[in-house]
Amino acid sequence: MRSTFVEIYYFLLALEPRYKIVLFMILALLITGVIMLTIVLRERSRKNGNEARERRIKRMVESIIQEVVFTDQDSSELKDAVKKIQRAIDSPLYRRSNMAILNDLLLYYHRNLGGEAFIRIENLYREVGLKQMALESLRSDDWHLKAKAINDLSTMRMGETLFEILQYTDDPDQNIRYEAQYAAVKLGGKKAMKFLDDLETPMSEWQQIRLLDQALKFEYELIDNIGPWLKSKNDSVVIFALILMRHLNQYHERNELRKLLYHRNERVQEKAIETAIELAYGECLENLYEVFELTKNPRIKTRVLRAMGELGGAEEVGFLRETISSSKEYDILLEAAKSLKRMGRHDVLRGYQEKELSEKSENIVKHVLDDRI
Amino acid sequence: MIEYDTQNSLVDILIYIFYFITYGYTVFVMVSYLALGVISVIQARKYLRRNTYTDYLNILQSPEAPSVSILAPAFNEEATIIENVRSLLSIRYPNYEVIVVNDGSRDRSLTMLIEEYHLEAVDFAVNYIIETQKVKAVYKSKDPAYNNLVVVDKENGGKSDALNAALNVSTGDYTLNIDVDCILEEDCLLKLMKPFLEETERNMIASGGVVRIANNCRVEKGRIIDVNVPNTMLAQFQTLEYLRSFLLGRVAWGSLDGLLLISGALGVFQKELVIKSGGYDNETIGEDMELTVRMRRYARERGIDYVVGFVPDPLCWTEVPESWSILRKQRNRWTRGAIETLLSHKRLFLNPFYGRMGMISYPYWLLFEWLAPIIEFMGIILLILFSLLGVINISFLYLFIALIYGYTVAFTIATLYIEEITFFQYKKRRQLLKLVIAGILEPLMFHPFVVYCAMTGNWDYFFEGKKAWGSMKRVGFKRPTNRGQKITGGGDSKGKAPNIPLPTNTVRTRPSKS
Amino acid sequence: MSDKAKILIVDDEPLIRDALAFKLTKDGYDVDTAEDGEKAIQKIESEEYQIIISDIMMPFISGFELVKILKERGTDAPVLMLTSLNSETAVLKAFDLGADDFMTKPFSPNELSVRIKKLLKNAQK
Repeated sequence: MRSTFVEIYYFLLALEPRYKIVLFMILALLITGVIMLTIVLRERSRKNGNEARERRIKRMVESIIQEVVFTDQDSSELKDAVKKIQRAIDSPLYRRSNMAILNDLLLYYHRNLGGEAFIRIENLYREVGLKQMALESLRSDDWHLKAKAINDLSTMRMGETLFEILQYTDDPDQNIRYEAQYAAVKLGGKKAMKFLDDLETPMSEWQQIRLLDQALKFEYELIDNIGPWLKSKNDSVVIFALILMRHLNQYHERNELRKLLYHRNERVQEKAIETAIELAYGECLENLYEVFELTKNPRIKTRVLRAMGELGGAEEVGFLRETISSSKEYDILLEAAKSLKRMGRHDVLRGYQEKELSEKSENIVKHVLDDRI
Repeated sequence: MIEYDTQNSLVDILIYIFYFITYGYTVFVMVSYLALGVISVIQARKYLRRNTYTDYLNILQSPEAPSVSILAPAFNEEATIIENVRSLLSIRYPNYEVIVVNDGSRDRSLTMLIEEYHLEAVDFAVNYIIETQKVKAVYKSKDPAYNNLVVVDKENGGKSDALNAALNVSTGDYTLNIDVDCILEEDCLLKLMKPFLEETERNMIASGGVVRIANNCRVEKGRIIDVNVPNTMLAQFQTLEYLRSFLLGRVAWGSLDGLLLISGALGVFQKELVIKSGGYDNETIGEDMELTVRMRRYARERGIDYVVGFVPDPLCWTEVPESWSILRKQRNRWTRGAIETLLSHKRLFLNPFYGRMGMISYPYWLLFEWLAPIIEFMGIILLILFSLLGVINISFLYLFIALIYGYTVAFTIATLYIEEITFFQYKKRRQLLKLVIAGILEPLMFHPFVVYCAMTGNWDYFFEGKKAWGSMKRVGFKRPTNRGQKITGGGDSKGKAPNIPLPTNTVRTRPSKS
Repeated sequence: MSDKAKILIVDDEPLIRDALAFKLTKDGYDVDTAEDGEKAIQKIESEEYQIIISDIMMPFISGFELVKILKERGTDAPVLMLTSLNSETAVLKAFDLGADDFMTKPFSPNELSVRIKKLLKNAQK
């Protein structure tokens, strides 16, 4: 037996170097393969175990949380519930991961419930120590832990942490920065939107959507800073200010809006027209005629036509009617016809003389008159 | 170790080239796979970590969510169309319409749709921005519950033509292009739209998502209930192939902005740019790859600073063929599609004007997707030849082949490992073991088959294709395009019976060369 | 038959379903749940409910379709839509299809109780 090994050893030793290299690589690959496979299998049982544990904990905790959320409880009952929950998640090995499970569960309830239930969940969040855990992650060096902690704290409306969160609103890491901005608005309300005053980095549409979602909760209060934001050099801030104007009915900066109709950035122009429509800003119609002449972008042209339908009067009816008989572009024709319909001028649409319209325009008029589309 | 002593003969030179290609090329392939793998893991982890605190409800509730049109071309799908449309109508997204195009089906697809969804023809003025076969009628539902459903009935013109017709009637700013028989995840649109909304520096023109294999999964009411590993070995091989291709290949290429293919099974596009670059080409086999490449070219040539994104989440499930002969046809088609796209955009090759697409992606596709099987095939032929002649050192070659084999198996296991720590779809131990066994057998059973299919694809394209083109020209007919696509080392095309060509049509594969 | 009003909760999210069931049972109703539109229809066929609370975005049969089907069948029970969709179009569509009330998530459980009481009162008239 021993001699065979020695033989193999000498055989290998005598090989050319390239043989040795390749043999060694094959061996290394085999070993890595086996190691990876064992890791996968171990990971697997760990994961399956985790999932079972998660289900078990959820089952145990769910009823306690329901009790807290849906019934009037005094402080001693709450303490009882907290104790029960802590017992359920207590474990020498898995405490942290159990806490995470509980965390997600509470966040889920919080996202879906409002009113008093809301406040009770927040209390529970503080009492079971989840807030403390989030604050610890906030101070960690991992960007994703930080971002998640900020998100959790703001979702749970832990207002007292606002001050600590604010220092991250211009963090170099975009993920952390976005979460902090969002949290600031969520916890601090419209005053916290001041960071927009001197924001230099572009703000993504996703972030705008999230901030708007929060801003919609301001319930039509006046936002004084909209003026400076509309003048911002950062186009994403301008667009966001327009979105705010539109959805929160901020009429007071209408003059600035009129200037933006001529903005160099076509995305801004588009948003400005949409905002003018939403605010029923009829005075800008004269500017819109100009914009229509100046622009080559069909998206802007169609929006101008829509604005005419929403805001215009007899004069615009004439213009739209003229556009339908003279224009050749599908989108323009369609929008002009729709605008006449918006104004309730079905008579104009039906009143074209025979042969006055091309076949295409005629079809489009029919299309628009069909209420089923 | 030189076992013979000759002057510099032709054989010597051949042997030298042979060595150079086999060793150099293989090592290069191995290293590039490894690099792609590493990049993918980093990307997927980042994505998952961000998802731990991403609330998709924000966009679901937003009045500012961009409008999306789902484009679903259907050809003879009566068995599944009602269910499929139903699940499209229940996707989670606030602002979308579903456009189903009945591409001249010869079964009851349209009638069934009309009955189920109370459709009636409306006076729709179709805007033929992109030329298509005639649209016979556009239907809308009488029922407000389905007011975001549009059904277009048109004359048969193939998948590309149907997609173009859908583009013509769509109103959204973005389009989600899908195969109607794919099973989509409920959140797929939310997840696919996110990269578009997050991009601030550049203009995102398209984004793709991961396609997984649905064979043997339990499907209920158009949703995947239980993920399973397919039963047949053939489908298991393809499972591994898809995992490698999507989880490793495309995720990495996506983060390098080097994707040349957004799969026809699932992709979101910026509509304006699709239309400006001319829509789908219905003369090509691999219409999805062709469109992606053309859009990139268009954007680059117009000076648009663009990017193509990719979402690493499994968002779409599809059935793959479980029969060798259907798979052979599919792969043959993918090969031809890729060759066609590569050839018709050959000016990209090593052209610095096109940036990474020209300098990296295109050459990579050329070298590893198109030429790899040919090089491999030639290599084996030469190997047999040389060893019969007794001119090369065979023992080392055997060893080298063993190395390649070991690498492939190890790489497959690595893929399974990555899947395990990221998306974790195959939850049972048995499923994993099945895949490991398939991974050990794959290089021996499946890979030679794939090479064979690619070779016949090349053959058909360059030698048989001519004939088809000739007869095609005389008939002057549009054939129902096959849905073909080929991707980094794997695929995602449909596995069901290929479209049956109309009697008058012959397969036509490429632009005139005669 | 008991004098308790019977409520059917239709929602694909188990946690919401359970939470609602808990709350409404506590309020003194007889509560039944279904996880999607199809199951809901089956239940409604075999059982009579005084009120139906339904989510909108559910797999296969959406809440919109569910309302439509119920109203077509002439079910008397009022339907309250409880959804995370909060666009104007969604509200309009829901009422257009015959929904009796509309609430968006996050919702206040207490507000929901009040609305249910009101709907039941109106239905009795």
